[in-house]
Amino acid sequence: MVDKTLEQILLKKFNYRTFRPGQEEAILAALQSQDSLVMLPTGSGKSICYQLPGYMKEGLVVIVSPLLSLMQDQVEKLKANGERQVAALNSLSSRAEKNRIFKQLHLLKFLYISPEMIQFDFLMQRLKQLKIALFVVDEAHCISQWGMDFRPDYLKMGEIRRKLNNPTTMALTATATESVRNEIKESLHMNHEETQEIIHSVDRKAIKLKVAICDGNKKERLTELVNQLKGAGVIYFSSKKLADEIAETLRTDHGLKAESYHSDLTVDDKVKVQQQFIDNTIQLICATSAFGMGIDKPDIRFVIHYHMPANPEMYLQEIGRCSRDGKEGIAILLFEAGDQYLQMRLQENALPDESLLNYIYKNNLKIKAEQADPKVQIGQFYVNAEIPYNVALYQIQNREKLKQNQLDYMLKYVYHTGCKRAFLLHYFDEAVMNKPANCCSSCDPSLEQHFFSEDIERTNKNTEKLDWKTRFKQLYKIDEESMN
Amino acid sequence: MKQYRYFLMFILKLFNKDYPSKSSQLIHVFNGRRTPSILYKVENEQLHPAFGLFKELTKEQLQKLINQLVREQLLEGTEQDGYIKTEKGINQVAQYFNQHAFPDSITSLENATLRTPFYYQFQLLGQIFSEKRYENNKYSPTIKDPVHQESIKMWLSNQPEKMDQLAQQWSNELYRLLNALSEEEAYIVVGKLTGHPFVGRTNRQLAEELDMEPFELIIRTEQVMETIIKKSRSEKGTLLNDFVDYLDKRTYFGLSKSTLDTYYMIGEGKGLEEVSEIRKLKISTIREHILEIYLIHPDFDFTPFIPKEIYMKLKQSFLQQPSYMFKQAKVEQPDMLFMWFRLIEIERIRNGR
Repeated sequence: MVDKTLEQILLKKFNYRTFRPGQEEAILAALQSQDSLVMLPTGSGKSICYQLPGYMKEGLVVIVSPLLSLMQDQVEKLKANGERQVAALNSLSSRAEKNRIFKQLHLLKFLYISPEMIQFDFLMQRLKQLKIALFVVDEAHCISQWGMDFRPDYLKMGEIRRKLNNPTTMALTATATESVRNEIKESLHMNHEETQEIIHSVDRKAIKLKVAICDGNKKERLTELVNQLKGAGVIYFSSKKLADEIAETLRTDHGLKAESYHSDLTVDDKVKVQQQFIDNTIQLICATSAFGMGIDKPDIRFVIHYHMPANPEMYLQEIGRCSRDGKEGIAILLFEAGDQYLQMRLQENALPDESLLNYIYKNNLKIKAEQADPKVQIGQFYVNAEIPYNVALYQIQNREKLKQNQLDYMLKYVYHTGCKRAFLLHYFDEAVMNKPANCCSSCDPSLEQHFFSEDIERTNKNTEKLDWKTRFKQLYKIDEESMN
Repeated sequence: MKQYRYFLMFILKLFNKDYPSKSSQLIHVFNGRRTPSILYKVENEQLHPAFGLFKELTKEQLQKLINQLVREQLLEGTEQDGYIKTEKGINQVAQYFNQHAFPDSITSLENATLRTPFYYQFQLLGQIFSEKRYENNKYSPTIKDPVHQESIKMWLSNQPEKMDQLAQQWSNELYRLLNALSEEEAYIVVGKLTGHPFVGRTNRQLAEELDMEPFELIIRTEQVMETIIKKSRSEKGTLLNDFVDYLDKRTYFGLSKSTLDTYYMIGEGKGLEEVSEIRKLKISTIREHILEIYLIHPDFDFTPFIPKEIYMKLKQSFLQQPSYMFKQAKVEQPDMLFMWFRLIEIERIRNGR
């Protein structure tokens, strides 16, 4: 009976007829006021896990989310589905907007909030007066210092939860190893025995895995591939400059509809590139890791990595943008001996070294509270948490070692001659169940050819350019007559 | 460096032969810093198009570009003494801007803080009206910033007409206005707009279509926004006019909030000392507010704040000696205020010295 009701709500509110694996279990846990740690693969509809019970439970659903764009995106989607009682509180909200939300907090159903904002005392006091239906920690792997996107503010979520009288909690993530999952529960003070773990395989069978070893011909290999692969694709780079350069080459020399996407783009241009990609005006995005969160394009057919990502979690997240419609797609990692040194250099700048940490411990009062440099932020976190210097140094050095191990794992993945899928899943303590056809480049050396097409669409700039009057009239559905 | 040529020439144009300029000063202009001395520098050296143009440009990035200009012998000098344009630089910049447009319609700071919110909210409003024309209410806004979204929501809620009437009126007015622009300017504006059948073009895409560098496109867009704001302001009774009015208020008419409060008080007939007392601010701060008002709004009547005989005397002194200095004025008139001196200096700049 309950299931039937759930499906009715699913159809009414979200326009889906059936649940995807894991969703229903997560929803039921929330409805039974049971804490849960939900790990569902990328693109499996995690937001429904807390939005649907939100409609069935009395009170406010508080969602702590680490990314402003992701938050904005979720709010927009809920509003587009007709939900009005939803708001986002973060550093982008104006003072007037904050005041308005604060005053209407009791009327809201969903509140998306940044980890920084929820720590404000006045807000906590107000939240404590309200009935919290569900406390959601999205992208919960950010809690883990051993995870890929550690956010010091996330470490305070356990304390926040306690101050809110331990409401029913749902921690959501797409990629976390067992040790990261344990750390999430620990940090959120979730009861290990009573917390329901809804863990689904990180494996996305529709995504086929290929590694292509290059030898001084990576650019050529890339252009060969994008000239043959059918459908929309994303190419990831570790460098903004290279993303720009390759996009330019693909446009000018190959006539492909390619755009670059990275943090140097203006905010409106970023959205325009995303929207053009979604409506197929663009077929290729040359991106840095800035691209992807919140991109809901179901028919991305390939993801190519021009540079090797730092760890398997990140790799899985990024290739997870492929094949959300369930149809087959391919993830290709281009590798050239020495590529690992680029990641090493990037990692060197991610954590405070011994001398910086020492300086922060001795001069913390002189350093401004809100530092932009993440290295200083991490150091400040240790000082503010009153963790002794030696312990902090030990932890940071351990983290460096972990990062090195993760990178080594990626390197082993590249050279692994056995099943690539099995090797990648092993990192997450998983094994391949029901091996899919065309699994990986070890299982099928000519894997990519299944995804080739002879008919790749090229741009024809001349036909695309409309004069401004025609474009304007189409934009506003007007003709000359109605203007007079 | 080819793709930065426009930006390099734009920077070169900001230098002149007479006043050495440093990257440490210019960076404040690009970042839109609102101290009285930076605002005066903008006015004195006619740097209006650069003010607040690239808020995230760093001093190091700017210095790199200046070094490039020095290497090409278009500028000479050092960071310590400042840089001036060489003869070669003067010729090259003149030649370059014979073939490329310079945003010379930006001649004051009046719209400096308005242009950016106007640019974003104009796009958002354009999208809302376009979708309305197609009766579509399920779309993703191109402008995601909640501050802009909230502002548009508020403006729309204050309009007495229904949405479909507003959408019709907006498109008619905008079409008329665009017809008064050059073809290229209209192309930039319409190309940027997202609506029901199209996603707007990015800077790079529009620049490619118009055979410009992306920097040129960004700077040209600033110029077009300035033109649209000015034209809308002059067309009373239109929706565009109402929208610019509304944004003017939200952006404190280009002033800081504190300066605007002073402006309102002097508008009520209060003297500077009285304002200082009521607001519990130093009199020197209130005088800086007067300078800021005049620097931002050239039509502001400052004469009530300067004794007539001082006004005449200063004008006379500048006439006899164009390089007349405050130090000298202070010797001749010990109670001379810097505010009086600066007001006359600004007036002289605006009257062609």
